[in-house]
Amino acid sequence: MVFAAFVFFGCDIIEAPYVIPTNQENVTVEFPALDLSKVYRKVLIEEYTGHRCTNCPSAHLVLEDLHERFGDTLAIVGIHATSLANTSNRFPYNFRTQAGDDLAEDFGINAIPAAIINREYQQGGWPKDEWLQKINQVDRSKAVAAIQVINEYDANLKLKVNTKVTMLEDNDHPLRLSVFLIEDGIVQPQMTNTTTIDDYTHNHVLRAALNGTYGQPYEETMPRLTEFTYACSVSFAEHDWNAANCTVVVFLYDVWSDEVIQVETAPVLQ
Amino acid sequence: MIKVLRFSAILLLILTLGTANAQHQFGNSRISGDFGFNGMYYIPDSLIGAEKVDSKVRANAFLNLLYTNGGFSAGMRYEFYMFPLLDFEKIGYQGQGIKYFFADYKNKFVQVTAGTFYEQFGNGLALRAYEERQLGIDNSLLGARVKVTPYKGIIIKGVWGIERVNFESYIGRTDHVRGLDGEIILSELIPKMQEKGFMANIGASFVSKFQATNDDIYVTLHPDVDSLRGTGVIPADKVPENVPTWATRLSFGYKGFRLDGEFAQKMNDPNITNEFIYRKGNALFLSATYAMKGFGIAASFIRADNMDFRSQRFQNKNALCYINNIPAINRQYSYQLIGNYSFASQPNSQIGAQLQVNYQIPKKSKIGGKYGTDLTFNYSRFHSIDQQPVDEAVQNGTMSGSLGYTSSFFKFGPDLLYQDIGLEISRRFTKHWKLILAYNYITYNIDKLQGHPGMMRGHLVAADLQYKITNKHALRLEAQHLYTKDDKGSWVYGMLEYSISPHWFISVGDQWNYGNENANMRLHYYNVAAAYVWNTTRVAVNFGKTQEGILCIGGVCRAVPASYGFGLSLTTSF
Repeated sequence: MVFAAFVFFGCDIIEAPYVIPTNQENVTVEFPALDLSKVYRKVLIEEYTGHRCTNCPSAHLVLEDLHERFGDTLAIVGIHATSLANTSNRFPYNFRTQAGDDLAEDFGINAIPAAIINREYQQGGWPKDEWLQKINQVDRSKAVAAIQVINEYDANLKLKVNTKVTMLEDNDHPLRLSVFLIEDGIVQPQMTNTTTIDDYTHNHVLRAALNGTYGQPYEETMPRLTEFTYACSVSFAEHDWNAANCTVVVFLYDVWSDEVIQVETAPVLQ
Repeated sequence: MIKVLRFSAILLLILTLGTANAQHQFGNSRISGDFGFNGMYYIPDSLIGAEKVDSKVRANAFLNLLYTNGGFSAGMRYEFYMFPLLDFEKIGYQGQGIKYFFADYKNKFVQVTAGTFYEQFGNGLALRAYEERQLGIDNSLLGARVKVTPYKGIIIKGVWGIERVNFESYIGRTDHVRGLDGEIILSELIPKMQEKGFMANIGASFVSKFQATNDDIYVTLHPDVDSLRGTGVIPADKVPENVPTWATRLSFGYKGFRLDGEFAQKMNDPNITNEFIYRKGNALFLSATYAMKGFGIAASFIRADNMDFRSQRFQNKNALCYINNIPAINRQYSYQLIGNYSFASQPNSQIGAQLQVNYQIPKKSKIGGKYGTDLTFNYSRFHSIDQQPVDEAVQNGTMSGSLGYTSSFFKFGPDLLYQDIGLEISRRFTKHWKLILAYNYITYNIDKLQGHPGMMRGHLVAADLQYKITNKHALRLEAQHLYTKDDKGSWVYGMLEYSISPHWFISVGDQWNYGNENANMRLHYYNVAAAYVWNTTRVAVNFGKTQEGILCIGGVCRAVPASYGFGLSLTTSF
């Protein structure tokens, strides 16, 4: 009888609706003509960090150095993940995101600081001493695609991100277009090797993946010069994000290899 | 825990082996088992598509041991598939270890099993945990089973376990299967029924699988319309963790007549094989047979709608890890040339029927000859089921994340999957000569059943001639011709087998794709084989080529890679 009861409880009946469309929008802006001479391949570095990670501030310094060295050809996303990103009485601010947790799990991030460059990765990511070398290994001699981004931020605190992708090479792999929102200048405590800095400035912090952790899929074959547009939106009203410090990071990646083939950034307030 | 169980099983076996005498028996205890080794040396052949493999010598090996003492039994199987035959590597059946071990006790009232076990409820529409070694299927359950017979003719079974997935670890898995089955054998309960030639069984089962849901599922909306394409999300709390399936069945017989039927229904089970739809699944299986001296007729019907039932919702479509089994009811053949056109049961969408009539032209009649002549006619036809997308699916441009479709129950869908019209004549002419002649017209939907474009319509003519030279020596000739303009074109096959019973078998055969459109691909697939049998031990060697294709057993199929090489197998039981 006990057994029968156990079995009987094995029933989950789910009521509709089952699927919720994500925040996709129609593209309404006009994109300027693409100047191919100004298109070059940019690189995405996803840094895994945490406010209770004592070695992370030194990794932040490496990032700033890379930022100076590569300028706008390097897009930096700081992902607060692993248990060192958990909150506590001393570190009450929650930096974590669903997308960040998903990606950390996918890439096997269990020790931080670590980073993944263009999603060409080893499980667990690369230690900070190898970041420069890994960035230099990316073939930047040509760009496979160009991304244009136009942000619209309105009085209702709604951000709409308009994007246009132009393929510069033939492509027959499935692709995904991800739209991340990052914020600079968040002042919150950070543990270091010696102490805890209460007014530490956190930069490049991943706030949200606006079109889901894995982005918008494109599965058809795309010959060279194929263009497509995509837009999605998010409301700042429900968040403590400061639009003036926020930047949108849009990147296109190959689903089969995970490799990021192009990335573009644009501040929310353009 | 598993390690402890394994260790205890091995210890038990070592102890019992050590004390068993030559007949493997002492007192009431008995040890038995079997061993199998199947190895191959692979030679690359770019024409037939046999790849160069990193490890040229590969083998599958296993040892089964069974200990019985009265109502108690315990057993285990060690498998060594670290460098398995290519077929097995391709489906992920690679690893080693004791994945099958159990202890079992039974008496007249109860049977309890702990460890791994196989089980089937009714026809298997709700649960079928079984092993088919040749295919690489072993979906045994690791857990516990209880079988109670409270009264003669009443059987209640309960199972709880984790399904085996190749050599993957059980640790850390959240999915498991629970089931309950009851059967009443009326003819045992009411002996008078049996006396009057009646038999009747009724049964019901309930099976539920659990798998934790931690992640949202993303689906693409309007995948076919560029301007509308978007991403939808099924939140994790909308993904059912418990998916139940129930089934009821009935068997009825009176003298030569027998009727079997089972109906199963599965609740919402969005998974990768049904593209994450929430529609309930159902399956109906009906079979009626009538047999009298010299005549038999069997008709069966099956309809399966969204009944692919697996323990893991993201499990690859090609993985052979089902909880249930939707049987293929078409006539199964062993003809070499249509092996690659065997119907694979489609648990998510199939409706079809099969009719077979057997008639024996009486012995010692003018037409029937001295030994009689057996005629077998059969016809089967299977379609996909009717599917009309629900409004939400139309709005979203995808069935994913909706109820999917509605379906008119008995309506055949637009896609013909498989059709077979066959006639077989079998006749013994003398004590020495026997001939079987067969003709089949097969229609096989390659697109739906194998996933690459095409439809094969082919005529198969086959002959099997057996000549018993003396009591010990026999010769068998098989000749087949498949005529088709589709797929790889026509084939011819010939095989000669010579046996000296009870020890020796020798055969040579060749399969020739003479009708291939591409003249360079009109290849020969020859095979030479010999086997020696001594008591319960059989050693066999073979050399030859196998074409790329599929292997199906009971409607469950897996891919077979092209191969060329030398094979050695040994089986023995004790």
